[in-house]
Amino acid sequence: MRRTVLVLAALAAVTASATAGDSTPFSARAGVELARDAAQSWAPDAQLVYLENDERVGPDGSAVRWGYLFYSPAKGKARSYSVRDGKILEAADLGFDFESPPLTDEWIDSHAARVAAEAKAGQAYCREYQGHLAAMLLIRGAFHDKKPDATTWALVYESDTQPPLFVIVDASDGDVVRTLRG
Amino acid sequence: MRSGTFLLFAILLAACPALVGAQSDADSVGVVETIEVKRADTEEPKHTSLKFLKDNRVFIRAQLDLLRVQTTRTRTEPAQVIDQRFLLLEQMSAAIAAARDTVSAESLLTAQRQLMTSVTQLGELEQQLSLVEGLLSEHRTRLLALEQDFLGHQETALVIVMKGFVGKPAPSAIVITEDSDVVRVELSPEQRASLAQGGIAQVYHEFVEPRAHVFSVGFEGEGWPVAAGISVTVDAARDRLTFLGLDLTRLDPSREAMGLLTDVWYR
Repeated sequence: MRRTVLVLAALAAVTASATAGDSTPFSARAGVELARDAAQSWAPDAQLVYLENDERVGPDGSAVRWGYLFYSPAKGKARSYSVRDGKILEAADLGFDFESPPLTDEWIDSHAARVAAEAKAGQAYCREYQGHLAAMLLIRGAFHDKKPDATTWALVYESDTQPPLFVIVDASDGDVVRTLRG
Repeated sequence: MRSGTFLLFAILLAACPALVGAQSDADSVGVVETIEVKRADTEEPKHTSLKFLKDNRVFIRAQLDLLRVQTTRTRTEPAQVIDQRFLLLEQMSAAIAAARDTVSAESLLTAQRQLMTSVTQLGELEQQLSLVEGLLSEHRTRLLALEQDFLGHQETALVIVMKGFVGKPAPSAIVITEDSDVVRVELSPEQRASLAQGGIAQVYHEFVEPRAHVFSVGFEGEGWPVAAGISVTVDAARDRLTFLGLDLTRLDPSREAMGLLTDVWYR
């Protein structure tokens, strides 16, 4: 009996690993249209206000799962869509107020954002403190003090020994506009 | 006791058809909205999504609280040539004022005439009466035209027209701002040429709240330096058409944006 349980557990682990391995990483922009279609069936006025990686981001700026957040002014609510393998894996109301301005249409994809952040400070941080990229998110207005209208990527690097590093990239042109610690 | 309870039920049952009938009537008239309170489903999602946002929502929302969202609506249609009827209104006003003057003058003459001394003077009086009659007839025609156009369906609306570009380059766009609401109206080359020759352009026609509005009016284009908008206040009258005329005759684009003449009239 105990052996059977162990075998089943091992099979489950293998299956889970195979599923994760089978998923194809994609860039942030590649999942937007699917998420938008879903959001507009929820609310015709829904607008993309935020996105974030839901799984670890690879060196090329792709991830197997991205999360997209839409806000409907008519409903006064936000709803998120987690996309993996070209499908909506999860859709859920956000559960708290988040009235963020809509992202601009023109923004560089996650690959270009990661390249810019790595070159500026991310790579040095990871090398020096054995850090890694923990999150990358796209939002408008929150992180660019001089140009609050800008949509920006924020790349968050973490290390066990140091405070996290934020690298803010202007999503319209890929310029690193700010780095901050803590 | 039991018979008392039975009697109560009987009364309630007798009343039921009437209640049901009332509900049906309400349904047939419109939609009846009911509210039911339920406990929120707190089931955790199977896949964690937007983890950073959820972990740092206080910080991110604090950053967003520092922002102010300004909405700009850019008209896809160019500015319209002013409706001929609006120009006629001004002419009608002038004609009414002229007619009023004529009637006043004729009344004065009549008062001064102490005595009808000849048949010739009686003839003059007849001519004056005919003149007044003609003026009244024209009034009736004007009132009829106004009635057909406006009466009975006018809602509070604001029309902004501008003129006075003779001798200066007409702007390529006019930007009208109220609070966080920005309306940008582009002018085509033909319209700019028309303005430069003394034409009038209608740049805004919208339903507005019946209250005092403070607009900031700015101009864009070659020869028009980027300057702070000129503040213009207009009181929109309820259920009437309010016209705001902007006269740029004295406005010098090469200097500080001052000297804008405004005119407000109602119909």
